[in-house]
Amino acid sequence: MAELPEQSEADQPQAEQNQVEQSHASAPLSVASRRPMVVTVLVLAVVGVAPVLAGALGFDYLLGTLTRAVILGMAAVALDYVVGYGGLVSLGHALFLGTGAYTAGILVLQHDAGTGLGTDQALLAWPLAMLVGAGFGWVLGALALRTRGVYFIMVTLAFNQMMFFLFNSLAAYGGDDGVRLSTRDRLGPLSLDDDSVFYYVCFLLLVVVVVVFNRLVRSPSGWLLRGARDNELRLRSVGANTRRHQLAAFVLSASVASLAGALAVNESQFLSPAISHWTESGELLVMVIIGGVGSVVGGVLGAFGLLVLEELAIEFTDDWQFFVGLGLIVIVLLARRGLAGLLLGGHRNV
Amino acid sequence: MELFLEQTLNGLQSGFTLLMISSGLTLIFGMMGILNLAHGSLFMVGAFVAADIGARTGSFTAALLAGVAGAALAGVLMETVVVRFLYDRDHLDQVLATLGLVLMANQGVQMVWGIAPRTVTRPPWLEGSVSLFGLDYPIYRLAIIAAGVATVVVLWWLIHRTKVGMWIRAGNTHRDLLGALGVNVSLLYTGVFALGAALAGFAGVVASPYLTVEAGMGDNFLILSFVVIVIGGIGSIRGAVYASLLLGLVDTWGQTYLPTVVGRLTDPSTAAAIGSSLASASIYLAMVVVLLMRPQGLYGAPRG
Repeated sequence: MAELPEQSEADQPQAEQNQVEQSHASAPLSVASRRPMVVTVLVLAVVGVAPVLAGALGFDYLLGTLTRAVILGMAAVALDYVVGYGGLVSLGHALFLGTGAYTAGILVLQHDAGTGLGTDQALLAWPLAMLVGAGFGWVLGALALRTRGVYFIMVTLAFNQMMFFLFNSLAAYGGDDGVRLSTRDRLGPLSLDDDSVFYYVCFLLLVVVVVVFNRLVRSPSGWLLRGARDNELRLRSVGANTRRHQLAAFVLSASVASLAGALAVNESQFLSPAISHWTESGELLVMVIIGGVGSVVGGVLGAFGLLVLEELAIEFTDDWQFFVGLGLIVIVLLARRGLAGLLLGGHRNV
Repeated sequence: MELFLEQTLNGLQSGFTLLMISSGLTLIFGMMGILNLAHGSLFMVGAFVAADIGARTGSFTAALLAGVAGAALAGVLMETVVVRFLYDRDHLDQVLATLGLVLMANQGVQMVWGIAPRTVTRPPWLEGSVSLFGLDYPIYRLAIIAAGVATVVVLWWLIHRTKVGMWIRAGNTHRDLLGALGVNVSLLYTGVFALGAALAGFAGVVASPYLTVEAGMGDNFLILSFVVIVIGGIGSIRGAVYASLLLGLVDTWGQTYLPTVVGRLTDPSTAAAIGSSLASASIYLAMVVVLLMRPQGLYGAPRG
């Protein structure tokens, strides 16, 4: 943070009253290091060529895992915005994977049943999934944001469990066993049933998500979000409506996670409440931490890191979860800023 | 009326079970400021050890003692190897490290005891039922209620009437001063953690005759005790008592009466499904009401 102008100026007393305006005014892109940008582009480039590389090396079977990593990476980037920049640790983001998955899944099932209420058009289903996710994010976020800190963790986890039970009770849509979907959504002339095409559609959406969040963290709202994380009382006392920006961040994050959920159900073609189990919320947080909290692209690194780690662990042992848990504890206790921390060195992605 | 009495007793029984778990969790949080996701795993460890010893010896008493001791031991291990390094970390690190413990515990019990579900059987001397106001009610459930009441009394006595309790209360607010006065704070922390673990293990053993002993069996209880803590107020044992009983009753009454109420409006099979999901949601609705009226919880200190 040392290279940012706010830090030094905020030390002067007269600057304090204007801090909000200052945050607005001084978009520090020009003075900030270019390194986060370079790392972001590099990471996305590697993700872009990953299927080709995997194919060339004879790991074709990894394409499914890579697709899941792209999808969950998208959700992790969205979660990082709330956790890393907002300081609001949500242990309930898998519920939004669930809202997206169930929106897209139910639409396909209704389409198959010919009720006229369904659709298999991605251009309809996916935005709708985002809208539903935003709706749930707005209601649950407004409630959860009445608390902070450890309460926020517990409340979001409780909402996660509530939705998990709700999805379990949808007997018409698979109940607790889940249900197979006949088809992936249709996207214009593209054939999403082709796994490579589907991968690159997910990849393009991931790029859009990363670009959007990269811009957001440099926007006035992003600065306010971080300011509220570091000293909420102070921002409120100068008249900033911190809760509004926190809620906006939560809603946006929920909506992107919901899109990821819709993509995930397309990937697996299997609609099941397992996607919103509370440990999935934990896994998303793990991705954020492995990748590096508050770094945007770290979520992508974390998703690839975790899924590849799991894939490797499965190769060696049936008890892989034991070792994933062990690895997690070691990472938390030893590596503080994750993979992105290593790549970024001392440079923060603002 | 008999149905109401029966369901009320059932609600109290599940409330007291929840209380045994959440009182330990809230005690640990109040004292050490740590959010332990692996608290539900201690519940599970208690149940697994009890199922094992129970099957070997045929004695419920032995199973109960072993389950409580096993959970306490697991708690001490957890605290000394992992948790004590998290006291000064932020909540995110605490959540992730203890989530790692959850994954290890869920897999660990399967590595030790296999994947086949196990059972804990009720002791013969608590079989049968007694007549209460014309209702035949299982003795075992009454025994759980009695054990819950005993837990509350013992905890109250421990915290408010003993020297250790004085240290615990002092440690909540003045950790450094307590250490300066010659109390071994680190040992006290381990002790409180073990106490909370033993309570969770105790709950795991007494509840498991009504449950299947399997990996992940503690997860839902963990989340329910979070709801208890949000409602009761963090670090408040008194809040945990009232909130646990409230949730136990709301849940049980909901499961019993909501399907009937919904049944007046729609056909029986849909009514059963809707009613039961409404009942599951009712405890979270209770939490939402408390969040709207009193975000710090019933007995929590006001924030900010």
